[in-house]
Amino acid sequence: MTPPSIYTLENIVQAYKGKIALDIPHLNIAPGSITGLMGPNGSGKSTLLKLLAFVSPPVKGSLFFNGKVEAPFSPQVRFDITLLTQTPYLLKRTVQENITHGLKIRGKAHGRKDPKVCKQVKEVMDRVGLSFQEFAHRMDYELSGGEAQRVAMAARLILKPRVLLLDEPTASVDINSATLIRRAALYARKTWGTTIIIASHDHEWLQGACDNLFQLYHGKIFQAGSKNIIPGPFIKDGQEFFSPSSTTEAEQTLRVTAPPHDKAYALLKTDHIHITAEESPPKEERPEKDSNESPENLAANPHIQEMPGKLEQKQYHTVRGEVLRLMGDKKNGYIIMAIKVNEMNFTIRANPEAVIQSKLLPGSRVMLTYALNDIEWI
Amino acid sequence: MDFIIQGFFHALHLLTTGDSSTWSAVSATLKVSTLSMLFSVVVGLPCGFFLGYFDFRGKRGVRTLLDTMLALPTVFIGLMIYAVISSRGPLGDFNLLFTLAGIAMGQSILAFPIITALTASAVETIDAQLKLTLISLGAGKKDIMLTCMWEVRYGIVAALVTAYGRVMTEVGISMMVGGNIKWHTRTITTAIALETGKGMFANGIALGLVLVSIAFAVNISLFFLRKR
Repeated sequence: MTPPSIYTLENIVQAYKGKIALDIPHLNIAPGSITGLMGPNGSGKSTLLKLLAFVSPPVKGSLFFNGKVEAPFSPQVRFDITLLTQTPYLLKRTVQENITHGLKIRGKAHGRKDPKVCKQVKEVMDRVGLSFQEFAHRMDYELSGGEAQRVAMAARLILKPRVLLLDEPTASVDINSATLIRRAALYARKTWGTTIIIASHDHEWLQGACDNLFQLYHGKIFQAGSKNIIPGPFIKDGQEFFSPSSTTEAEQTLRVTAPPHDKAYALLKTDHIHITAEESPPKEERPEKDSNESPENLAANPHIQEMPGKLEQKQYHTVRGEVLRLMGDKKNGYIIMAIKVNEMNFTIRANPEAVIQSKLLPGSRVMLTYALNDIEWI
Repeated sequence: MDFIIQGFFHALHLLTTGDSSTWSAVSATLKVSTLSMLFSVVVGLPCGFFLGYFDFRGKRGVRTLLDTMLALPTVFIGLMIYAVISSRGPLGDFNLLFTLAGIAMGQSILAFPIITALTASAVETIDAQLKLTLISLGAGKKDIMLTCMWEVRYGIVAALVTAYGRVMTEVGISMMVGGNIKWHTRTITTAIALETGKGMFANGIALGLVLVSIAFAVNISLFFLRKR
C-alpha cells in the first residue's frame, strides 16, 4: 500500500505583483523521501520551497500537509517544517543561542546551562563539524560564511523536523562545509525519517541523494530528464523560428515552430528527442540538417531511444551535442545524460543498455533529432 | 584668560564641596529629563516599532511629519507648552507652569520624534531573511515581533541615548516653561545661561562640566553601541 503523501499540491499558483511565479497542477511528496529540485535561477525553486514551508499562502490552489489543507502559522505546520536558505540569517547572539532558538520557541529550552539542551547542542554541532568548546560561545559576527551556514543547519537539526527544506544550502560555502551539510541532511532522514526537499544546482549531489528529482522552468515542474526547455525569445527565419540565446554557431540553431507569444518557452519531451552517437567525419562535413525523413530512415541509425511510431510526416531537425555527464536515476534505473548543445544543456533520460551499446561517455559527440511538431509551449 | 582658568578651578571646588545651588540644578535636570524620557519611551518606542515594522496607507506622510518634528526649535515647543499650560490655556487648571512636570511635558515633545523616528529607522533595517528564518524555526507572529525588536536592540538604545542627550542639553523649553526658579525649576542649562549673564563664570563652568561629563558618557556609550 502506498503511504499517504506528506505534501499534496493541487492546482497551486503563486504570483508576485500579478506575475505568475509558480504553476503546479499536481504534485505529491512521499513522507521520508528526498526530493530534489533543479532549474535555472528564477525558475520557481525558492518560491516552491517557501510555499512548502508555509511562509506565505498560494494565491490559488490547495496545499495539503499530512492530508489536511494547512495555512501559514497553523500549529500543525509551525513545529514540523523547517527551511534552510542559501544565506541564512543568524540572530545577533551566540552560536549556542542561535541553535537553541527554535527549541526556545517550542518551550523546550530552559536557560543556557540546561544540561539536556547543552547535550543536544553539542550533538548537532558535532554533526555539522563544529566544536562545541570552540564555537558555542562565539557571536554571529565571529563566524565565516561556511560556519554560519553550518550553525544554521544545526539550528534546524536540533528541532528533529518532520520536513527539512533546503534552498541551495551549499551554493555559497566551501567544499568542506558543503560536505558536512549534505551529510547532516542525510543523517536527519536516516535517524528521524525526515522528509527532505532540496533545491540545488549541484546535480551530482541531487542525483546521488534524491529519490525523486524534478526540474522547474518558468514556474512549471517536470520529472527530471523528462522535458527540456529551449528559452526564447525566438527569431523568425523563413517559416521557422530559432532561439538566439542557445545559438553560438550559425549552423547550430535550435529550431522551433511559431511561438504562441513573445515570452513563450519551447518545451521538448525527452521521449521526443532521438539521440545517435556521432560518427567520426569532420565537423565541417556534417552540417545541421532539417529533413522530412521518415521514421524508418532514422531508425536505421544506432538509436538510444526508440522513435515513436506515430512520427510519420513530421519535419525533423538535428543538432550536434556533447555528453557532459552520465548519472544514474535511482528511482527507475535510467541513465540521465547532460548533453551540451551550443550554450544550453539538455537533460535526457535513457536506457542504460542503450547507453552502453552506443559507448557513450562524457565527451562523446552525439546527434539530437527532434520533430518540430512535437514542440510544446509554456 | 586667567578668569577662565580661575573659574575652572573654582568650579571643581564647587562640585567637590557639594555646593547646594549647583547640585540643585543638577538634580532638577536629572529629574526632568528622566521624567520626559519615561513618557517618550512609553509612547515613542511602540509608535516607532509600528511605523518601521508595518506597511500601511499614509506611512510616508507620517514619516515626513515625524522628520519635520525632529527639527522643531525648543523655543517654539516652549512657547506652545507655555500657551497650553498657562492659566488661560486648556491645561491651565493643572498648575503646570513653572514646574518640573511642565518642563517634562515640553521635553517629551522634543524627545518623542527622536525616539520614534530612530526606532522606526532601526526596525526598517531588519533583514528580510530574519522573518523567514524565524518562521522556519517555528515562530508565531508574536515571537517574530519580539525577536525583531530584540535584534534591533542596539539601534533602539541608540535612539534612547540620542533623545536623552537632546533633552539634557536643551535650554529653550526649560527657560520658558520652567522660569529658571532657583531651588525649584533651575536646570543646568538655564543656570549656565543665568550665571554667564551675571558674570559668574565659575558657577557656569561648574555646571557646564557636569553637563559635558553627562554628554560625554552618553556619547561614549552611543559610540560603543553603534560599533555593535
